[in-house]
Amino acid sequence: MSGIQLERVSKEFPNGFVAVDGISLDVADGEFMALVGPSGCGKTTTLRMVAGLEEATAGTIRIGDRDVTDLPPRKRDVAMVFQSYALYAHMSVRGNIGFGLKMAGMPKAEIASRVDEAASILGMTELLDRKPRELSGGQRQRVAMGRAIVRRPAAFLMDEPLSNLDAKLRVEMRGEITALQRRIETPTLYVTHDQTEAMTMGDRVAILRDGVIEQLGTPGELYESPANMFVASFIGSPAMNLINGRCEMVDGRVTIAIGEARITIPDAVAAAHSELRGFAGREVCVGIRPEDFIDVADPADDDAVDVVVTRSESLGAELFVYFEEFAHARAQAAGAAGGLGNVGSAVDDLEATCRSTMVARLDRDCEVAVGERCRLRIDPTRVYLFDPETTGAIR
Amino acid sequence: MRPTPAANLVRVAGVTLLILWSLGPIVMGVMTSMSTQPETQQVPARWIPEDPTLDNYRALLGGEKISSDDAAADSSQYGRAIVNTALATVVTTAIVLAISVCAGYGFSRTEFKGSKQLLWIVLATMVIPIFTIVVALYKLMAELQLINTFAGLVLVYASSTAPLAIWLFYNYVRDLPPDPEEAALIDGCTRFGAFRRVVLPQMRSGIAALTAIVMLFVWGQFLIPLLLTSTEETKPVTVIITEFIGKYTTNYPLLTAAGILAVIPPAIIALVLNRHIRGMLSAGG
Ligand SMILES: Nc1ncnc2c1ncn2[C@@H]1O[C@H](COP(=O)(O)OP(=O)(O)OP(=O)(O)O)[C@@H](O)[C@H]1O
Ligand SMILES: [Mg+2]
Repeated sequence: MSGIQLERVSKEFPNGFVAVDGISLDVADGEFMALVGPSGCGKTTTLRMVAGLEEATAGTIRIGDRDVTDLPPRKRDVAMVFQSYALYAHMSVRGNIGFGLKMAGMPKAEIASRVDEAASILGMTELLDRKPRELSGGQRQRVAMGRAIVRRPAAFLMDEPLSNLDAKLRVEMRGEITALQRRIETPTLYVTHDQTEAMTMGDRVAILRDGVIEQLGTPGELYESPANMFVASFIGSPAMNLINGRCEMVDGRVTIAIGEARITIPDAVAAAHSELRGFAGREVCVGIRPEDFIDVADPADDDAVDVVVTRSESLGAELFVYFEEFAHARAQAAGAAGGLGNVGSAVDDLEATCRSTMVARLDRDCEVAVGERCRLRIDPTRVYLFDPETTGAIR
Repeated sequence: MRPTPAANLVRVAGVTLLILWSLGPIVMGVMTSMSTQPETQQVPARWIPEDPTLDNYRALLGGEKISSDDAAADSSQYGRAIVNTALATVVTTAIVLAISVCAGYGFSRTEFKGSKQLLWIVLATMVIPIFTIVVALYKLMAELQLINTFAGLVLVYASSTAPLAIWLFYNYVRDLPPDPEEAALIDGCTRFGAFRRVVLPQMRSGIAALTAIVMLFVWGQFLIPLLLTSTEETKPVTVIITEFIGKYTTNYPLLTAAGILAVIPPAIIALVLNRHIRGMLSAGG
């Protein structure tokens, strides 16, 4: 089995800070694994340990079936694309791309043909004789890619390679990089702090927080069944709304009360969550994705809630409507010291869950006005439920 | 903004004055060096020689003997002195560069126990003016039997310029991004290979500037060699020139010719490396 394997890899810096805490990760051959997480969670450190630029203080790293844990970078047969591109300023583009091959002692003629091939794949044949300072940001990024692919390494490591590009180019390059990676089928560990990038590019995505993998799965799995509130709020844009609610049994059916609003969970859904009945009469944390709100005109709709719109943003194809909790819930939230504050304290290091503003994504032709009421229905099959004590998903 | 004609005039005048100020003495020196001894003693002074002669230069470079009778040195010793100076300059510069490039890189890129303190000690030696330690220095060199040796001279030169050089390279490397070096490590280089192939080429202009600074420093040294050398085999040109001055009479044309010749090499160094010196001195220190 080739690919990249990390087995309980940790990094404790000399100052005692544990940046990576026992990560296990298995990038299969040809797989594109995205490593995503908030700033400072240890993504770069993990990547640097795989590259050999940073020593792992515990655990084992294997690349292409070899144990490389104690090998220096040059013996690991990996190529890395740096966020800063890290081009060799005094060499031409040709020299930059061919450097690794030259170090490997490859004959000049072969280097030249491999460099030409890489340059034509990346469409920069006419740039080969320029110096890095004579290139645009996007072109430099390509050179860095060229330098990586030309070596045909056992693994690619990329540390936020697109974060210095403008938005349009970034989207373009996303597609190009994944297409390129599919074509050469080299296992890739791709670090980003941008969940959209991770979700669109990764075959699988590992979500890292404070040096620990919170969840690892395909983009679909992460979106559909986040393991905890952190993952739930990290994946998706805008982020999932998290609100405090109460689990109740009404006529033998599971009902979630948010303020005075009631969401009746369909039996099939309730049955799929065996733990749910145990929460009867207890607080739960309710997650609702902005896209799971539906605008309803019918005032008789029982599953619907009233909200007061505080802000709306139209992006053309879609409309984001912001509101401060459900109108029904407000009185209660103000009275009892409950409401949204509880959610915040349960995971108070999560900025995303602390906000009391919620957002719904509606059709562009919805008519809403700031300050007015708006009636929204919540798709009861799409409600996420979390245990407020552990922040874990209720299974 | 385009300068007004008046401002331009002021500027041209200023620059002209500055040039006259700095070139004047040299022009006078050249004139004197091509005069005869009696001409220099005329009253009123005569600036332009009646019959310009290159005899003094010929004597200095050709090893002919011209001197005042009461002077300690004569023109035939000049060639050797130039060679001494040049040799000390080249050897010192090579040693200082080798040490300071490595030390500067090491201090800025690695940390070991006591590295900060060591750097401080090295830098602290920069603030000690040489004349405060000449006596101790002389005793030390005598003790080590390094008086009148080339090695002793180079040792003192190198140890008095290396701290500055180390400090400059320390800052220089610290300002270089570390990523390209790491990329080189991944691309197959050893630590030393990355240093040689990626870091060193980027230090080129720093090295050029430092070459010039050290060379100019060593070329002009007077006090140290006056103290440490007394043989023809070791005395540099700065010392020999002063010995052309006799107790009662001085051959001014010879003296000035020797001076003019001695400023040519440093002038060339400064001209060639001038761009880098400016870059280094203005680079965010
Ligand atoms: N040399 C070091 N000594 C001590 N702590 C360090 C060192 N390098 C990094 N850290 C810490 O380790 C943690 C992880 O850093 P890392 O660079 O891996 O974060 P990251 O996930 O890449 O973040 P970002 O998205 O901002 O790049 C951070 O909290 C950082 O402060
Ligand atoms: Mg990082």
